[in-house]
Amino acid sequence: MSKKKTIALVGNPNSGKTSLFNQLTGLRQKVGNFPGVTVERKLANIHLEQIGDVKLIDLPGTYSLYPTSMEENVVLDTLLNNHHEEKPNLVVYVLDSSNLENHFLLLSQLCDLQLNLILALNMSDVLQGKGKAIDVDKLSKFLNIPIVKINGRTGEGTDTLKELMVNQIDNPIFSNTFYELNSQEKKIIQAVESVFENENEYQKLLIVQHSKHLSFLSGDKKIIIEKFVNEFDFKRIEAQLEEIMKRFQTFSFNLKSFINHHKSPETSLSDRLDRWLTHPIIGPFVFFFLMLFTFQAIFSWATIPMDWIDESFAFFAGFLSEMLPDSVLTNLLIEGIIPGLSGIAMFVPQIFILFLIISMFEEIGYMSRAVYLFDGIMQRFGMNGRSIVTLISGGACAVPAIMSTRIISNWKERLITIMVTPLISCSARIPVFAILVAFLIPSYKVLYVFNSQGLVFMGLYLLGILSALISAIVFKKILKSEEASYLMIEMPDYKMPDWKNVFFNVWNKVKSFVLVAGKVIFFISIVLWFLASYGGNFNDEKVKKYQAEAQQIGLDEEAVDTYVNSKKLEYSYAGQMGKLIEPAIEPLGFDWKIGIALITSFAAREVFVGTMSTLYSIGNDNPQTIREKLKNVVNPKTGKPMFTFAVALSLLLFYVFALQCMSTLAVVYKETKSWKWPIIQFIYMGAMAYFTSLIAYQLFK
Amino acid sequence: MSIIVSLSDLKVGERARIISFKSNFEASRLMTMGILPGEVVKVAQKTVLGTSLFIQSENLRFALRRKEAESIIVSKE
Repeated sequence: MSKKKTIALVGNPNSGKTSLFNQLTGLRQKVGNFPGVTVERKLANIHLEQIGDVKLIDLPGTYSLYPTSMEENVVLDTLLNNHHEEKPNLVVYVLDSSNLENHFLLLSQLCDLQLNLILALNMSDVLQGKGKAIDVDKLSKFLNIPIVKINGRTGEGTDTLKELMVNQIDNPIFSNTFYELNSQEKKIIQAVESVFENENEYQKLLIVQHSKHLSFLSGDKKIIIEKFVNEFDFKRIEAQLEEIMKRFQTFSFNLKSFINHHKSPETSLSDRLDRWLTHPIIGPFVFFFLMLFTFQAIFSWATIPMDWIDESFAFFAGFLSEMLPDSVLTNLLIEGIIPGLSGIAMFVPQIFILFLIISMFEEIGYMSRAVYLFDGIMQRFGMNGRSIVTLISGGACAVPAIMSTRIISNWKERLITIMVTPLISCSARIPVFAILVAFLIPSYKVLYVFNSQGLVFMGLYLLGILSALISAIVFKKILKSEEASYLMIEMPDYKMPDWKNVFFNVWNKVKSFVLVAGKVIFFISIVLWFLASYGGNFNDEKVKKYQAEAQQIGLDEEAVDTYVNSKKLEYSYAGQMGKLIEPAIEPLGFDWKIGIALITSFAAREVFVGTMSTLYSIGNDNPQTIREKLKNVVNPKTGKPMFTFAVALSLLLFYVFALQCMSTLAVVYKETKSWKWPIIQFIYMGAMAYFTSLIAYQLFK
Repeated sequence: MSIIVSLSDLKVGERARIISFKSNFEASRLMTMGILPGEVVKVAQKTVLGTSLFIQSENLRFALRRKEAESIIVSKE
């Protein structure tokens, strides 16, 4: 069975490569990682007539084969390594027609690598809008490879492209070459001949240039190359610069002559918009306003689906409990698995909406402007302008937010962003805040417009943001890095979003949340169910005892059940753990019951609410009911109400700071490839939580 | 008479022609994006403290840090 052929899409960032990929693959795309690096890899199997299934891979966008980031390095690795699993049999180069000259550099390098090439001219409509058009005939003669005009957005040209793919995948067509190696370059290639197998001349040059970063070169080969580099005093960067200059000289003039101007250029819409959107004062204001809108949208639009999902799962659980016989498996299903799944599903609407909005901003081209506006500030905190996207996403959920730090190439900036993002209050904290804020301050109008509790909510959010910034500064001072960091970002024309791209982006992000966070939450839910259902020998005898007790107090049938359940929880392993940690959390104003809730929150913070209802025999999850019942809870040690201002404040602060989310820890581990950082994160955030809670409680009790 | 300065020295709205790059490392990055010696660029905006610049060249719109801009030598005409 012959190996499946591979077709690779290559192009500059902003070339519309992604649109084309989405056009060709649709839902068949699979997002994963390139082996050994945290660089996203998009693959799909597509069917070509007469050929069968081929692998289509979307290589990361890069400006040239002189990589400046891990992403760009992956492209190099794939194309230079003749034995690479994904070494393409055919490369489709996607080019933004309105940017012919700048996008030609990479193309010229691919031509020199003598790869089987097709040129796809994208975004002709944009070029037309500027009153220009490309003379495809002239260009075709210049290059000698097939050229097809495509529109990634509408799908125009896709069929023609596929035809070309069918024709060419087994019948390679190579382009003219552009660069003639100079004498020093020729000399050094000859000298290190022994490290090569059967690469072509330019390929050999690139191998020598990038030998240090190529994963497929053995240590010995790297040593040989370095030896001759030193011997000939081969200055890599200077050679690179000269090569780039020579390339531009070779094609610039020609390319200019291939573009026909129909009308004179006017100030583009993009330039007019940028006058406001990148204005030093108005720009940031617009950004904050848009963020406000985003979060308002998330909270208002997501409530209905969230409630619906919550009710559906609860209904389903209720239904099952009627239908199924009482057994361990049934209990596991109803009290462990279904609540676990419900916890995951509940947050999908918020994550969906947040990433919908962020993707739209990215597609329109606004994100790069935001990165420009905030890079200066972010730098003071050891992060990059690109971190702003992550921090905002953290408002929905830290899991996909941390995954999006891949766009930051500097390791230190990326790490700091990862370390502080969980301090941004995520959606899961909201149910907890919702219950506790009422104990902090009654609801009344401030300045006629604002609700007092709403303001406290905002205050908690701001606290999270502030602590994130302060922690970032601390990390900035502690972490040492020599690596250069850069902003250097292209700001593309503003354009209408390609909704296909938005859809797939959101789809991939939600999928990653459900799969990554989902798995962790699910697993931990089951563990916690076990801990909460077993232990302490809660046998039938005890059940009868507490039933009798409850009836004595005069509770009705339903209330008797919840009373017995709360006792069951007391006796369980979880309950024992709560009692075990009680001495440690007493200075924070917490008792062992709250201790149990803190432990169960490790599955997901919102589990706090469910646990509290069980512990205090509340019987349902309605926040209103819970608040009412909690008001009446008496602290057995003091005889006074349990949930005082001090306790509520202490608990709130604990939830603002503590890293209780196992899914976050799992993702940080995956992205940093080590347990060191999640552990450090857990400890520093835990310490912040403990001490602020402690101080708050002691001050206000 | 042309004045030779760094890109970061230009005020908002000023135009200049790129002459060369101070640092080869920066040069490589900038050139691969199409920012070449001989090209005319304009400073479209700067952030409040001047930490970042928004530059327009004939074919490209890009943003960079002041430090990155310092390594681009330009000639004001």
